[in-house]
Amino acid sequence: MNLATVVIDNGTGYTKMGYAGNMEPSYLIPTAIADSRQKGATKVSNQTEFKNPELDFYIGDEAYAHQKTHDVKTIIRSGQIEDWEAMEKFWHRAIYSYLRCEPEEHRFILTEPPMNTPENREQMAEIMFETFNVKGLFIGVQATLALYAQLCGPESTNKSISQADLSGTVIDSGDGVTHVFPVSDGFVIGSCVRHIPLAGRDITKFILQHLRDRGEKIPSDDALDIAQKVKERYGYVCKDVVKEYQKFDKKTVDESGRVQQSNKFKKYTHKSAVTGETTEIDVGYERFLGPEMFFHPEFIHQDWRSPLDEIVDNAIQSSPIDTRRKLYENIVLSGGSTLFTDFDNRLKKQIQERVDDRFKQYQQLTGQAPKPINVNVSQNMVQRYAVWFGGSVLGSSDHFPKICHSREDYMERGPSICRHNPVFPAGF
Amino acid sequence: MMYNNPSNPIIHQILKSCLTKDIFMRETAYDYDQSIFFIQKDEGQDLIKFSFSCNGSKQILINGGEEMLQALYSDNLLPKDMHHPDYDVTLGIDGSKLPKTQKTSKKMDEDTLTKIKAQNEEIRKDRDRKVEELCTKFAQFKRDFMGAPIRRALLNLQKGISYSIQLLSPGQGNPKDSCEIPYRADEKYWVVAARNEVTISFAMQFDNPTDRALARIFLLEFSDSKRYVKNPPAIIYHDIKFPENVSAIFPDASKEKYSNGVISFTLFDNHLKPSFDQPLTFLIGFRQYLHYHFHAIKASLHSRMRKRVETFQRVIAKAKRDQDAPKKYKDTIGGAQNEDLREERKQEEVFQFKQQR
Repeated sequence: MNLATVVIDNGTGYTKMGYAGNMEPSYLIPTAIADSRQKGATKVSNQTEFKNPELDFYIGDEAYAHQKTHDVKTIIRSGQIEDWEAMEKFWHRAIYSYLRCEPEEHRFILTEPPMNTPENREQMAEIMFETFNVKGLFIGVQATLALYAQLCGPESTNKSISQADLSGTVIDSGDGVTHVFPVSDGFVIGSCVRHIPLAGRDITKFILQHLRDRGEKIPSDDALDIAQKVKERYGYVCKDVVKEYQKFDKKTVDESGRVQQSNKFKKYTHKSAVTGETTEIDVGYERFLGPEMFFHPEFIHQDWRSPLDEIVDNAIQSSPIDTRRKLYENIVLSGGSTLFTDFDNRLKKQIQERVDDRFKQYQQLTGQAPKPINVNVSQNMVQRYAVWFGGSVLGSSDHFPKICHSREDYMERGPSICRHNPVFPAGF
Repeated sequence: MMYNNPSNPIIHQILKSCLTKDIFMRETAYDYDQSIFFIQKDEGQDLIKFSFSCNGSKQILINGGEEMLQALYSDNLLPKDMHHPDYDVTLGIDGSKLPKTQKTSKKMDEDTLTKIKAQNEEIRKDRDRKVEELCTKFAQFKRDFMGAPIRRALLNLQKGISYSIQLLSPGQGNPKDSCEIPYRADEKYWVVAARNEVTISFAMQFDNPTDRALARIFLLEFSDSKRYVKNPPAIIYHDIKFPENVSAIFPDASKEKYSNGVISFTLFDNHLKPSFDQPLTFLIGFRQYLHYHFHAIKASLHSRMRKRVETFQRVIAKAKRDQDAPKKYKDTIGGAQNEDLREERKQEEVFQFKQQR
């Protein structure tokens, strides 16, 4: 029986897991683990309760549910795996309780951030092959998988794809950190990568701060939760901040003569899971001020002043000159924090302005007019888990078994085989 | 996971979203023991097709599978032409049978509106409950299906009907409840029913040599752990010799060699109260439980190795080299350094050696 490949995408905030061939991951759980407080005691026999403290741990949402009795910690910081033990336990629970598959019969696709050290890759391979005895392993770079999703995903019409098509700029904004990765011919141009440590979590905190400053009544237990839901449901990117303020402040007079507020203000009702009481909150300017932080990071943090479009521009300008056109014309968005409405339009407009500006100056200086670059920012259907989806498409493609590292190879040559993971096989 | 959970959370999730929302769904999910689920639903239609495939399904269907489907899933059987060709079993879940809420319109007056709203609340709660029940039932489908032969034997045990082995004569075939099910590609389980007990024997085969070693230790100690549990079933681990009661009915069974022998569980009447669920869950999930713990053992071995490597590294980092700390001898006037003395001594040796030649 040909069993599908398992795709696990471990991110800083959330882990996406599922089987290749499906459109969406089966699970989207926080990358957190709640360990038992009594570690070290390993005597199991002669007890009436068979509770082994080493096996008494929870992952994902259950970890946060057991916050009071266990120590919760996040395993991944800034995309890199910090705690290998916790990661091994996390994978263990994920494979057995959540995915319910037998690792010996499935191939696995894991993801890694770009600029990941080869030692980390070897460590991942070691854990997967030694502990779980997986049939095959492929470690994909997140940015390249996102591009692959766009190339070979459901909306693409390309029948013949070559490695050269895998070029573009990936803007990956998740929960913890935002990255800009220029990718050329399937390889991430390491020296041109840009990181901004502001992402989804910071927008949530900002919105929460705003709500509190205005005096809204927010139960402290669910504060971050409420802010997150407000952000996801009502957040959007505006075209111009000043005009947006005016739109909000516009007051209309309806038929009966009463003064109505602009319908941009919304109400959000929250039902607490613990106490069961409902609170109603007004949502106002933070609807657009939160996501505006991409273009005005100084709202959130004084140290960061460059807007996102400037950073993307810098990243592309620092890349090799022959790749720049392709990088501008294929900007791909991935990650949850890029899902705000009109995010792509605003970003495209601002980058295009910069590019056109530069062209005009060049024309003035030299009198030559090169072919204009059309900046293209694309949002695709599966943006929220574009990386996972790329893994899913790759895992179900015909050439995947050729590029996946097999268990026999590992037994023969050791973990160093996983240092190199091409997306397309040689001579594709 | 200390407890084998029979319910598959992916299936539960998928079915819940199919029943509560009107979406297009074609999803494949997997479960232990190489079983595959496929759930299919088209937009606008109420019927959800639930297909399942596993090893040995033909034998399971003959030996109690059909009866189990009739007993537990009779509302969901589909006619043959609607069966999915690639899968062994297909069931249908009809979303339209769930209670529907009434629509309210603005033209109604206050009284009827509040009444209908209250009714709708009730209906919604009822509907949620039914959805939950259906999802839970189907999430456990794998256990119900693969354990159907065991279930049949246990049912008859409970009723007091038994089939003694003496009924077997060459042309008759196997006694009614006993059967052999190849539930994995290279492993089987046998059900042998006798007068007041049912014995279920699992053949254990592991490919990885580490797994084999761990399995051997585990299974040997397993029967000793009976002391800590109230009311345990009788457990016998047949390490070298094949169990005789199985080879009496299935003479060919002993010809195949398994890496870790056969383990038999014997259940009596008192194990069947209050319901079959617990014995079935534990039996069907036994191999997976073993496998999980092997990996947990390996993981804890690795974590201990890592800790030791860390302590060694710390010790090495503390070590200092002699060359870094030169000692000064007090007995040389003028404060000759140790190195000079060593150099002198070396040269003296060389000089003497040359002299000897």
